[in-house]
Amino acid sequence: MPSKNSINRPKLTVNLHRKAQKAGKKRAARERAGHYKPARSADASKSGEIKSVALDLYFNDKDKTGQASTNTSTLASGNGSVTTKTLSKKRAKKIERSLRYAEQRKLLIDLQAKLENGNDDTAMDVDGGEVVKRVRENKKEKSALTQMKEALWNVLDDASSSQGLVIGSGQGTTLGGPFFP
Amino acid sequence: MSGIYTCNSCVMEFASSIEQRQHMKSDWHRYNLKRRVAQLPPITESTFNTKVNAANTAATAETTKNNEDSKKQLTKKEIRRREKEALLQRKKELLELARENMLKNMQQQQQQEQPITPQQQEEIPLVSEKQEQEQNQEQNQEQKSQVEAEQKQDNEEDLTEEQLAERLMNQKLANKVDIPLEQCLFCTKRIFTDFETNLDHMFKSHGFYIPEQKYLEDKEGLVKYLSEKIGLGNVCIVCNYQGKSIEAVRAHMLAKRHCKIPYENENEKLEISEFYNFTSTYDQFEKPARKKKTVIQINSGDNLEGEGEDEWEDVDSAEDDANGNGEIEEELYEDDEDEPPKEYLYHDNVELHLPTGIKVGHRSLQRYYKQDLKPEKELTEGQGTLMAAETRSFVNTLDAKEIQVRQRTWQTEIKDKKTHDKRRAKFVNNQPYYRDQLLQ
Amino acid sequence: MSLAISSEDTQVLLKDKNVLQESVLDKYRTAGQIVQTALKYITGLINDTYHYKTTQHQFTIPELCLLTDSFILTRLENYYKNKVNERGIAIPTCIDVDQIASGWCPEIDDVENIKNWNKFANLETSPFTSSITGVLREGDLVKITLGVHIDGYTSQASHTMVIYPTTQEQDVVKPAGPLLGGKADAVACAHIAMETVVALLACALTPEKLPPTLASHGGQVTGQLIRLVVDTIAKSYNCNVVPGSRVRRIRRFLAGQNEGIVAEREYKGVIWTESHQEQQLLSNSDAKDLAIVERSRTMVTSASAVPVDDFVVKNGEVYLVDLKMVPLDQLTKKGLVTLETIDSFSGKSHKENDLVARSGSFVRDFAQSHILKLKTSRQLLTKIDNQGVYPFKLSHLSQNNFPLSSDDEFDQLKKELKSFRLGMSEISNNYLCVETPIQVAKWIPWDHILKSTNSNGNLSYDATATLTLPGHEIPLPKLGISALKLKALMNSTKECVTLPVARECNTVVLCDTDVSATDRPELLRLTGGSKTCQPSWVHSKHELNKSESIVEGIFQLDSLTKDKRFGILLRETQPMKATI
Repeated sequence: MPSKNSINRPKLTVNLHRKAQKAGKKRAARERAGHYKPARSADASKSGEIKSVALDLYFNDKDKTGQASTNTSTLASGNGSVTTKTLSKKRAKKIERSLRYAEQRKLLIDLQAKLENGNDDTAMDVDGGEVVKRVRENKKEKSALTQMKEALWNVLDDASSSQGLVIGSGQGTTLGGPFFP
Repeated sequence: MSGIYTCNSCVMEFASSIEQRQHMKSDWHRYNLKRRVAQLPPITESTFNTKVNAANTAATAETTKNNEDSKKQLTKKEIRRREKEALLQRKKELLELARENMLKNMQQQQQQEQPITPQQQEEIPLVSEKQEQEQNQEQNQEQKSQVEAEQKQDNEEDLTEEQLAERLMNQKLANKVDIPLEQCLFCTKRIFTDFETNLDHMFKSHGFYIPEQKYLEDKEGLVKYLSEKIGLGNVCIVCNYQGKSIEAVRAHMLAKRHCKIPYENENEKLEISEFYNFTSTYDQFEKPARKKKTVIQINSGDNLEGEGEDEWEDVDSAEDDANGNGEIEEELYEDDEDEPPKEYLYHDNVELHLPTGIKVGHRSLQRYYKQDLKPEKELTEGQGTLMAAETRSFVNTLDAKEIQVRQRTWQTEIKDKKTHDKRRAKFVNNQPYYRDQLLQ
Repeated sequence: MSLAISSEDTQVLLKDKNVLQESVLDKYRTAGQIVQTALKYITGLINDTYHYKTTQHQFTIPELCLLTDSFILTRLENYYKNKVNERGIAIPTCIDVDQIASGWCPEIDDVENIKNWNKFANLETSPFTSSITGVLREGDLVKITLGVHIDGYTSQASHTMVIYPTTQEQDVVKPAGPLLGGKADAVACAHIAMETVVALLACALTPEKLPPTLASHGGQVTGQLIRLVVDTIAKSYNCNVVPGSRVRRIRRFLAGQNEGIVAEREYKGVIWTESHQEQQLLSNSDAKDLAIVERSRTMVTSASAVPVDDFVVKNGEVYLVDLKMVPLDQLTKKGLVTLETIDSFSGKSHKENDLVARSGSFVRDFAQSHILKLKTSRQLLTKIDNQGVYPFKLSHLSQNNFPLSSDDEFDQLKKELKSFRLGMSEISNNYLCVETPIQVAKWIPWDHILKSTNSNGNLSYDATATLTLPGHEIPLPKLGISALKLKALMNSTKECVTLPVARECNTVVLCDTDVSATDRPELLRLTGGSKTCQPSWVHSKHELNKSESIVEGIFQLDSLTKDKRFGILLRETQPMKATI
């Protein structure tokens, strides 16, 4: 490790490391102090998801009023703590609108799928060439591993029904008795 | 005469190249070439021819050609040497015989505890003396004695060895001089009051030292044996010089300072071993201390025994100057495994084995003696079973293909790392006092 | 390898010393008796503490482990003293609760450490609460594992206990009711599988008595048959056999304690690994004969060290039957049951319910040699080498304070352990000793495995995965998934769950007529059996379907064991009397 004043000191890496270290330390301290609840790595954490204050406020409000807060939201603002953030009426309206749109979009997709399945002939002239190409490509590059995986997929798909076990006559098995061996 | 075709080695000149070539192929030319190499002057053709003739006649004298060749190489000196060797061989055999006889007689003497009869006395030294005489003489001397013997006994060749010995014995017996115990072995006509003062005298004025007095049992027997050797056999006690008379031997011994008992090699020790008893030393070997390691200081400066063994020190001297200069540390190991060595002090080219069983190493090997090696591990049965059942092999086999694959993975890994670094450096924040808003 | 054994010695050590004769059998039997007694002792202690609640002090898991070990050693004092060179504990007593499959035997000085490392764990929801606090709770599956060897002849046992809520009826404390649900399935399955395998092994003495439905597989007791029977039972109870289960022949000093370290010559036994689950899944599809080009590292071992099912059980052999079962009742998908090794790295940003601990027992790897630097570690290594070839805990190495004689020795032991830890770190850093891992049973859905990309293939190498059997280094050879990749897969999905494990382990001797007590060949159960390993009160809603041919064979086997005259002979080693 070169000294702090060395000419050839790899400044970049050193700075990077120091920063990462410090940030890590602070994060660990905060985590320990319970500022991140749930922890970033926890299953319930929303870390990494797209964050929107407005949406949070909107859904929180809805929870409180609608379902009398049965499921405790993990967001800080959701725990009844006081926030400075507010949700304007206009913004709330906009959110409502976009939610509606999203629902409609979903319905549309279903409808399209139905259409495609129902009358294949009409769709053929649009997508036909592409589909054929894809099939050919698949055949070409099927390695042993892909074959193996496909075989396993088939088993998994089939087995979902047959997995349920035969439960004899319903009596079951009883071992031991009401004592401590 | 300045021809073109010459031969420098034979100092010759030729008319034509063919002649010259002929000459070059001749034996004469070759011989001269060899002489020239040996820096000898060339010889003429006639001399060469006579030489060749002489050699040829010599060769025909020998029966086979092979023999001739070998004979040619033998010089006179060589022949003489061989003859001498043969003689020496014969002498040695005789000597062995005589020694055996002598020892037998000695035992008889001790057993009988009788005053030695003259005849018995004679027998021993006579035989030994004869051989010793032969052994010590130079070759011409030997020849002379043989001539003398021939003169004395005309039909000696017809006699058997025993008869010869008997005759010589008788002759010696006639010349026998008895040296009593009170008389000095070396001075003529010096008689002391008792044996001890005589010994004292001999020790002080002649340096007659009796070795290993501690274990000596029969001091008088020893002195008597020596006096017989001198008086009867007329033989020097040190070099076995054969004198014509007792006076001659005494003169020899005094002149050469051969007034001591030789006690160097094994034969010499064995010769007088009958008068000693070493049984008390045997138990030292029976229970040597196990692995006792002593480090003693050795001063290499003094106490040199001989020119060849300046690094070796015996134990006594080493202990004497233990507080000496002390540059060298030698480790002595008790030799605990071997039986007491037959030879008390010997050197096996690596270590010097002392009679006590200690081995002395050379200081040049100090680094090896200093090593403290791990004792060999003994496995318990359980460990042994595991090892026996083990089939793992710890030999790394190098598979070229595998290494190639591994290298490729390493390369891609490094490449990935580099690109990653490059991309990260693009967005790096180098402001030293920047505070991340997320962490506030 | 620095040490080589001559072929004559190998013959003696591996063959001649394993010939079953009266003296050998007696050593096995004595070891078995001590194990049975110790098992009785520890179950008694647990019952007193957690069911009858008669003890003033609530014994925690580390204390129970240590007390049992010390009990075994004091008992062992009376047998074969000065007659054999080596005798002692064959496996430190482990008490594994619920999800932990094996290896939980913390030192007493680690109690605080474990609490500290796991302080972020939510003790209400975590499945490892009992292990962390050391106090058992109601509903726990408690697996007790212990073993004794005399002159290398080893007896081992494991048994699953259940901690019940109690009720009091007429001054008699009783469990409030049978255990239900998945855990009950696992317990019942493990018990039935164990009894069946023991009966099956007994049939190896008289193969003509083998039930016809089972005899159709060659008419002999083979590895395939054992696997088939166990898998069938597991399937009927909606359970899965945990990787690491095995039915194997044991020999003198080779009782499975060094599996994964020593690549044992002439390994004979059935083992269950992840690859067998993969195989089973594939057997349903048409891609059975698809072969993936193996790109594994070439390990130079002899072929006899690789466990295969292709063997026949013979007379005069000793078998270790070690079966672990997990229930699959909570799971809706097909998945792979595997084991996760617990480590003690506390700095990682772990999931809340992950366990952080370090293992308490170590095994010496005698093939390694190294000159150690610290004096402490050199001394410790000498102690370890003297102790034998079996796994050991650091507290076993204490000269003065073990076996325990009074209570204050707990504290002295703790002090002594400090210096041992120092030495042990150097020893294990140089691979002279290997930690026996603490393993947790985990389930990963197959679809997650199939969806994942696996760019490195089976080339990636997990340096921390120490104990793998030769030939089974890659868990999923068909898919080319290495141990390291599997570890990554476990952490990359939230669907991955831990499962409770039930475990039964017995040692049995197949005695031929020359050593058996009667004139007929018989199977001697060194450990386990009705006296010590009675099943707890459980009720599983599953049962064996008699219409299936193999199950039919299993029922016939059961009736054979009950038939004293024409059936198969089973004898059990009894625990010793309570006081000595």
